[in-house]
Amino acid sequence: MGTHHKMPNHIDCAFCASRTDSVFDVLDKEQQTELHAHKSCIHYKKGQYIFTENGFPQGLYCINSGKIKLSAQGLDGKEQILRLAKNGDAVGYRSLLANERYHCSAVALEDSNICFIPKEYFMGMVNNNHRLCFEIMRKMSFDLKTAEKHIMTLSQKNVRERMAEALLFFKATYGFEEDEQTLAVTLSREEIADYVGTSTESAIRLLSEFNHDKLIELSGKKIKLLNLPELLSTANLDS
Amino acid sequence: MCGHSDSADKITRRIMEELYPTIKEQFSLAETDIDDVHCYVALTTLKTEFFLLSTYETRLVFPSILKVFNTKHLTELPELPNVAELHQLTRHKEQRLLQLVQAFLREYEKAEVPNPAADKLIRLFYEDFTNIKNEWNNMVSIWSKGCACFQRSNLLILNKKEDGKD
Repeated sequence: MGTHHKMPNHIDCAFCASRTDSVFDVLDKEQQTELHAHKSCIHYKKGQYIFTENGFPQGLYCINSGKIKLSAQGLDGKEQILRLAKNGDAVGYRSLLANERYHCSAVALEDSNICFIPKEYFMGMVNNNHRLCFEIMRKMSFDLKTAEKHIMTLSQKNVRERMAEALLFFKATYGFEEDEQTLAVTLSREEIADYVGTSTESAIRLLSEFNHDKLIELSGKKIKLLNLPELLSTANLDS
Repeated sequence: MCGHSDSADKITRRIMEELYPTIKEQFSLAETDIDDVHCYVALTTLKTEFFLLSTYETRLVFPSILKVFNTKHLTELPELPNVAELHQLTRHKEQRLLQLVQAFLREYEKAEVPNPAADKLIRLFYEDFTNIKNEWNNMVSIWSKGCACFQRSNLLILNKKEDGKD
């Protein structure tokens, strides 16, 4: 982890411009003053790590200003960006509450001011303040919805990839008609779905999407491949 | 009929009638004993990819290659398979499949719950699948360089493309 610097001004929670966007907005004046006394404010330079994958959480980070990238190492060793956090967002709360090591790293995407709340004090606040506890639950539910949407997008991307791949297999097996674009085979939507490993409804929707994106042109059961380079790219075969 | 037809027929039969049914059976045994969600997701992703490869090979790739060997006059075929392209697409799927085996292995090891069926499945991919695929790919590579049927097929496709340009 890189060296960090104390913020020039120790931001008072009562006057924090990002508080209204944070889970701590539910605290009253007295609680804000108490929080202010326990936290420390740190300035991170662009590219500096706030915490790293597999580290053990010592507290919660709340962004006063700046932008943070949360990412983990993917199975292929490549960086997988999980989400971005901005002013008012709390980061590292999941590992902290689950008492687990961080499953991702947090890096400042720009110069950022971040407040650090020690673990013991934060856990005490969660235990004693049901409004704060509810806000954190709300935040977790929102993040869960975002993660589920992300999974859906990824699996959808995978089916698009497989549809493009199927069309390329059909081209290699059956070739084109005289126009050098129309597949020289007629397959039912059900048969295509079988090759793609999806439902007939999804196959119909995907073919329409491809038609709309001008990758193919549908004419009854005939399929014209309009943009081969793009199909190769969609199938992840262009490299 | 080409002299390579027999060896092609034998190896494709070994893949389709011996190896793939064994792997498919092992998938159903392995998935019944998996409780860890990450492990299960990795296994089902691998299973989907494997079943797709098996579908493409059984329905398109192997019949196309055998057709090239068994047809006396390729020009008489209603459609001419592009063997080189089919092989390239299949290799891509094999590589992706092995990456998914690796991903499944990682999740399986993380879950730390012994599953003999999953162990056998991983072995099937790393040993039997890899060996027979190496054998098959070497054969295709030799055919591509030295077999007149393959070269004629590729030449016809090239000529067809050239004609299309005129």
